[in-house]
Amino acid sequence: MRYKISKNKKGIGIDDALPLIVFILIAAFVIFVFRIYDSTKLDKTIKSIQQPKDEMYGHEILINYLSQTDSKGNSKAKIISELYVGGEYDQISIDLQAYFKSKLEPIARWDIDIVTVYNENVLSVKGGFSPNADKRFINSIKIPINSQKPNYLSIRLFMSRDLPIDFYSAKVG
Amino acid sequence: MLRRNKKGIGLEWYMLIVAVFIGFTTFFVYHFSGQKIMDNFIGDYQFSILRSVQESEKTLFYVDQSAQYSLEQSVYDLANSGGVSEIEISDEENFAGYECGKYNDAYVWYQVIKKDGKYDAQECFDEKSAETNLAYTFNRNLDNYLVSYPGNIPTDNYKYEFKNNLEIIGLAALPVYINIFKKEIPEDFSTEAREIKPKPLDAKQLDKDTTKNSEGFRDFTGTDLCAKGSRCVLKENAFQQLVKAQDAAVKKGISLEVYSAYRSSEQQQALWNGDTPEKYADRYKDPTVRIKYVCDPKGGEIKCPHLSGNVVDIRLKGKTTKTMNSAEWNILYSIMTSADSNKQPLWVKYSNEPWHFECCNTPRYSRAIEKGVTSIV
Repeated sequence: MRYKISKNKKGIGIDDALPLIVFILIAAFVIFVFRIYDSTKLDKTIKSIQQPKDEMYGHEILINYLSQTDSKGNSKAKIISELYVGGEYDQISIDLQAYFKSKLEPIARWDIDIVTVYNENVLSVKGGFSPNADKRFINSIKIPINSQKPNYLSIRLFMSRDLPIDFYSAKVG
Repeated sequence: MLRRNKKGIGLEWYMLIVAVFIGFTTFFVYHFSGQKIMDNFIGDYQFSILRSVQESEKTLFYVDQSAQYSLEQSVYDLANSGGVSEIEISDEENFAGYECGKYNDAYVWYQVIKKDGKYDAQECFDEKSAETNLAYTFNRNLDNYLVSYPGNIPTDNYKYEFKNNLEIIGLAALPVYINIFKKEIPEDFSTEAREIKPKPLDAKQLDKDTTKNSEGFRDFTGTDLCAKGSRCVLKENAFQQLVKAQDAAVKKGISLEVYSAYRSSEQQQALWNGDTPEKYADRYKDPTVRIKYVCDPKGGEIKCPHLSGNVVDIRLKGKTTKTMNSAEWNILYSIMTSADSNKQPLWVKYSNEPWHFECCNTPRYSRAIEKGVTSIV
């Protein structure tokens, strides 16, 4: 190029630098694509590890909640079942809200759905989800209901949480 | 190149092509290299073990809760029936008679009969039988809960012990199987009504879902051919006959469901000894009476054909033997006894039980073929 600049008496047109410019643009594009791909991959990996961890935690919370017994020895599962059969949904909602708020609010946003065997959502208890939140199904437990025909209710836990900062800092470091 | 070109350099397209080629090659090498995200990320298999532990914990929790309701229901049922629970033979409304019978639809506890001018008093209700009756009623109620669970929990699977004041301990005979390596079935979020359409059996899938043992038995528990909660094992030939019958059923737009098949001599002995919830031995202490309701394993395969592995108790899918009507029994009969490629019936029916079919040269099958019939006593 230097040679060309010194010897070329006609001067250099933009045409001369074009291949170099195109090459630089493509290189920039490839690097850009790699960066996007890399960050997507990291996000996906973090989520795929976080999901089962949440499943484990969700299961523990659900089973602990449903196994609680009152002074008469009735389990929470039984109480919920009886309240459901009696149509006292508000009572269930208040109880769920109180328990799961104390357990989950510090770390994640949550929702609990109570669903019948026919997949009818009979009760939804909200724990601070925004409409656009990354709501993920975490775990569910089935409890029998004492009705005419033996049946069950499915208690489904959903969560959304911001991924821990140390995941990203670990990458940077 | 630059020296000779007096007009200056134009766009060198080949450089552009090389650049694009290098760019894409690098991207694809990067993309398909070992660094890509694997379907099974690190720890996925370990998590699948933990998931199966969770699944078992959920199942046990469900059984435990169901047992509470079943016990409450059983006490209620027994109170309603005056403490008597009669065995329903093979799901039919065909009860093993209560000695003193019923009066105004209530079981008689105490009766006085005038005979030859004398009054003969008789105690009919033995209070000691309450435990036996409770265990039977409890088991029936519990089974109803277990079959409604989405997973496969074995039914008629517990030996009950009563402790203190109405405390039941159930000792399971068979474990609940949870496949660690099978991908978990995701929670069903669909709200549309599920239509169960009969579909032809896929031989490859069937091979995957069933197990063959060295003695020539095929275990198809948990498949579509086996009723939920039941344990289904057949001899290989009998299993193939069943598959053919199912194919014939699918052509008629229905499906079959086996709810009892092979019984080992130990299982039959347990029935005979009263180690099952029916407690036959406690109910019918006299073996000559008991044999009306349960076969003595000493009789071998001839007296107890279920021991052969060539016998099924079967019904249409989605039905119980109680809800099957006569037209449906007829359809089942025509499917099961349809002819195979050798123009022999696939199965023959035991005339006294519309659900009981035998195949593959059991004594009853051979007799039926000899007589040219498809239903025989």
